[in-house]
Amino acid sequence: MSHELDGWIAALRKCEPLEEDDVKRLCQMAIEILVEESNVQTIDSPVTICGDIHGQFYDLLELFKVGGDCPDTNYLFMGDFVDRGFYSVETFLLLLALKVRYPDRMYLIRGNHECRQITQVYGFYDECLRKYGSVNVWRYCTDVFDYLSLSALIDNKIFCVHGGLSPSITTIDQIRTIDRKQEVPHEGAMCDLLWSDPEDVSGWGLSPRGAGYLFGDDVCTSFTQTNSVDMIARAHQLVMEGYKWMFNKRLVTVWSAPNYCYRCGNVAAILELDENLAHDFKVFEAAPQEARGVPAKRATPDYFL
Amino acid sequence: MSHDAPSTTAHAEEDDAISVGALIDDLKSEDVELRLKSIAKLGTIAKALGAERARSELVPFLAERDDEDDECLLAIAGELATLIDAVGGEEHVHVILAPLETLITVEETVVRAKAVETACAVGRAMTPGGIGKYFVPLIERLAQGDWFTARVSACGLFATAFERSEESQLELRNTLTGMFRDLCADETPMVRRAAAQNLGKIAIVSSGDFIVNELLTMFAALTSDDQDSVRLLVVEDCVVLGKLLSATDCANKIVPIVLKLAADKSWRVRYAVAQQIYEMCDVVGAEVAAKGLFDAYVALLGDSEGEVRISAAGKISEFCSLAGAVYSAEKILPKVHELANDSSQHVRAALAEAVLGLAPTMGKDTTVEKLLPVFFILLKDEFPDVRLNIISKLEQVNTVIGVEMLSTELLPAIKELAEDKHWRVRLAIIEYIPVLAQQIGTTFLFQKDEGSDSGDDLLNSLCLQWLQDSVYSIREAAANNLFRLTEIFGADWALEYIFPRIKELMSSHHYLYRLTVLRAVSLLAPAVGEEVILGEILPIIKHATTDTVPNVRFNAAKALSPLIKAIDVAKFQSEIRPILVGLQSDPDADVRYFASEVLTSAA
Amino acid sequence: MTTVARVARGGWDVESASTPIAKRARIEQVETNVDAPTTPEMLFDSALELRHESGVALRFEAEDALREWVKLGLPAIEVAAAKTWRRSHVERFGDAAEYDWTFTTPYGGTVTTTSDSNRQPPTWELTDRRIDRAMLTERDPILMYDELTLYESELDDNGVAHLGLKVRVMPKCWFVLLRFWLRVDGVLIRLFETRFFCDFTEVDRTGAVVVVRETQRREETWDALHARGAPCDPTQFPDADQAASVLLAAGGPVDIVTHALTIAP
Repeated sequence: MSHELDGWIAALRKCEPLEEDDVKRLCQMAIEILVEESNVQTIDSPVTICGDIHGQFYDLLELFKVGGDCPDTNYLFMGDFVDRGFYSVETFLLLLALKVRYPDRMYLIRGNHECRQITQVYGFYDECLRKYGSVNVWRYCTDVFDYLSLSALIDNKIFCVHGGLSPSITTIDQIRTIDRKQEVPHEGAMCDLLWSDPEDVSGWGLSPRGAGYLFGDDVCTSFTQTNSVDMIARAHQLVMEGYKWMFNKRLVTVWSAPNYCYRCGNVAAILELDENLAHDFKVFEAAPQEARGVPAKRATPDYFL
Repeated sequence: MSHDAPSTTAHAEEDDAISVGALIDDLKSEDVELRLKSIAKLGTIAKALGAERARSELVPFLAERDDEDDECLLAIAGELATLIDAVGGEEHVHVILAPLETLITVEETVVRAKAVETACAVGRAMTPGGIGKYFVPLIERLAQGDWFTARVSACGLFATAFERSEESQLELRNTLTGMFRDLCADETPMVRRAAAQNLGKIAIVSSGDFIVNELLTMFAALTSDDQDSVRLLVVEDCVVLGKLLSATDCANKIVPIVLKLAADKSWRVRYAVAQQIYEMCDVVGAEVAAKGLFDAYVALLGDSEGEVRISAAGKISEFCSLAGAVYSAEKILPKVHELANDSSQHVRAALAEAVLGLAPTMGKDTTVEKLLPVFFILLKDEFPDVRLNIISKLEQVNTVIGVEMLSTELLPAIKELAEDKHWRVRLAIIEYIPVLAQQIGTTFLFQKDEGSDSGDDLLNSLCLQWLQDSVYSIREAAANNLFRLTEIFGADWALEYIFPRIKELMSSHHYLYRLTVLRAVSLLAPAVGEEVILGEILPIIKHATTDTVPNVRFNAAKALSPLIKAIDVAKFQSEIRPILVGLQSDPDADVRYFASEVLTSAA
Repeated sequence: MTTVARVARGGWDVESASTPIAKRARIEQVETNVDAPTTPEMLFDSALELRHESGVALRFEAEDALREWVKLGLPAIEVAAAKTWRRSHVERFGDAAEYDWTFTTPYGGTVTTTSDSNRQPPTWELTDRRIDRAMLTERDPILMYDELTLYESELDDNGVAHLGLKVRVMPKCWFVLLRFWLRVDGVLIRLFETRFFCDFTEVDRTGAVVVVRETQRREETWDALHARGAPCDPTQFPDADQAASVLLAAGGPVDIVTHALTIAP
């Protein structure tokens, strides 16, 4: 089994997509492993924490060049592997193949884009259809999404989640009781964990859009104290500098997609924790243009009206 | 285009009747996939039918067939070439032109181009008589076509017509010449562009006289075309024509055109000249090029459009070697200084990529005096690609000014770049270190670094610090660098200078740095011999197998692999095997896996 | 890394600069300057400026566009899932902050004069003039072309809000298309197109040149589109270009207003 997986990993590292049947088998193997993981996956340090990738495959390779290859370096990716970039299929399958090959070295938790509805709007569905001529690969992958863990706890000290906190959750134990094996619901604790944002508000705020929570410093402090954790690491929001501290360093946003959507010009970061939980942010830029296959050309003139 | 393996004759004949019927049905099918499949079989079917029936049944059917799908049309245009051998030889091959003629005039460019290509292949299989009777009349019909697509296609057929007709067919050749002249002056730019594209091809199959007397006059008109898209195609023709003409004709007739285009008002044309001008100089030789072409090149280096400067800067070292040291020093070097301070980072990057190639032409003194300052400007450029391009080419200068001098001059810059914030720049420096070491020897590595308060030597301040770089790829390269240095200086040197220092690193609090040490020692093993392996390397790895972090333990197992190859079997059994066996019962699955892998491969 | 395109023609000096997204400090500065609780997460410092030799200039930039957004202050709309959310939230935590989170702006460019020109910036006046479309369809060479994004928001994965522009300068005229494009999935689509045109070969009796500005505003709810049989799947509207063609085909209501800016010599 490991021999076959090594072959898939080698192909995916070259950005070569797998055969549809191989994807099916990889996804089945992944589900067998993920089904055993808790909603709050316990992880031992050392581990390197990564934020959104969004299908930017060559930038993921750049991330590994800076942070180290798996399995040498342990990784936790906090969701949003797919959508918006050009290589969601290769990105997700590479991460998944590494997860299956080295389950104790690679951890993946769910982001709000790991969901059927969102991927149909923001690119992953269309990409599967374009690359495979059918939506089977999208089905296999979205089935895996339902099994991804919702959060992680490193050495009982650092709580990691894609979006943020939920007014329905006071203790980490409450997360453990969620039935996560489903499409991300439109409201409730599971939805909040994947969607909510920290904000300079007092207590809980409702997003001005009318759905989705904002949580303030006091909420963050009370959560960390109640659960005796040092800090919360989350992703979900673009940060020009790659990472951003908030709430007296009790919360950090990590963003790992450099030059987001191929035009933002931002840098990306990963958070490296050593075996004593000493942390170090590695900031990196987009992979050199030539390696990427996206022409850097200026927009071509057209006679628009 | 598939050619099925021929079956036995008897079988083939039986299959024919069925296949042709089926093929024709499939070709009429509504289903594009089915049509494509049957098109791919055309060549095989034609062979099976025999020449007579292929001509009388298959080809007419294809000529009447009116497909609307571009993909099918493209497939037919290509597949018709496989009929050339199947319709009965050079006397009959012209029949294929009939189905091609429709394809040659369709709107879709790709189909047309393919049809023209096949038509040329058909033409090449025809007799000179056939060319006059069938091929040239086809060109005539196309050249008089109302729609420009026909006239564009016509341009692509002339070279074949000239090639396959004989000098004695005077009237025919005059007709062709007249038609092509008209096309060069066609009212539609697309047609003139096609003419410009094909002029060089015609020249290749023509005599020198014909080129001078006929083609050059048509060519001259194209060079003053009011469309820049036509003029820029002419640039490539200049090189082709230049190669075909005598030195005098070239100097008198082609060079003036190149000079005119080099000063064209459209930057796209000047860009095309910048791309081609070196080859043009090469064709005419330095002596002729010195009368204008070199100056034109220097002007392009200072062009107002960045793209043109990028293109010109990329050719700078070839140019200087052709122009010689005197001209280069006087005219090109001042431009080099300007380009090093260009406002466009892409221009500076292109210069950085090429500029070191100037050193051999300029010689030691000029390089030191004039070029080194430019290198330093570029080494300090704010754009990382510029710095990277210079560093990765530094080797080229070694032979000219001597690596010792280079290192004295460069050491401060290297020291600075070794800490560059872009890791790819640091990587390029690391990869350059063994080159320097090879040529200067150990003195270079132990040179005191004047900028450092601690008085650290280069080895310590750089080579070993890189092992603790924050970027994984740099740590990997640093480990590899130590191996290359040990290859150069030997095991004793490594024992004295490397091992004491990397052993200290093994006590790092960060698992990734301990991994780097393992990486370094496993790389060093093949270069140091059994004694050092057992005395120095093995204890380091053995210690690592008891590390608290599983990643360190399984990398220790992996690091044992190169040791096994370098020591004798008895030592393996007594010293290494027990360690691996112990790791096979490690609590971590990956440690157990890699320990078993190494044991299996050792057996 | 900033990239710049620039050309001078017919008394106009046209310069565009495109930049990466703004850093934290700059974002906070803009929030203070326009007095807004937040700004789009992709805020660019990109700008287009068309400077006339008279000293009058027309400029396009995110900060002024956001100022117009705050001034317009459209009431907050709600995403599809909002109704149930609001009910359960208000019960527990009270009212939510309300502002137009779609960043809808009526921005029509900023007219300025150089400090040394000692004149007041001219103002936009209603006009019967029209953009010369025949002139724009002529295939004259394009001397300068650029596309800029001024700001963009993913609306927390509820759609897209995008303010961007295209510019082309030709031998006889220049043309700018400024577009605010909004898609709130399952709720509505909004497309504000503002076209700016100047034929600089033409001067009036007083020697003035005129810039014509035509504003077209379209807005459709998902339900209205659906009722007319138009596509209402978000993937049909990935960007302003495609949205424009679908909206045009759907033939919904449109507001058109034309203004002129007269620049005296």
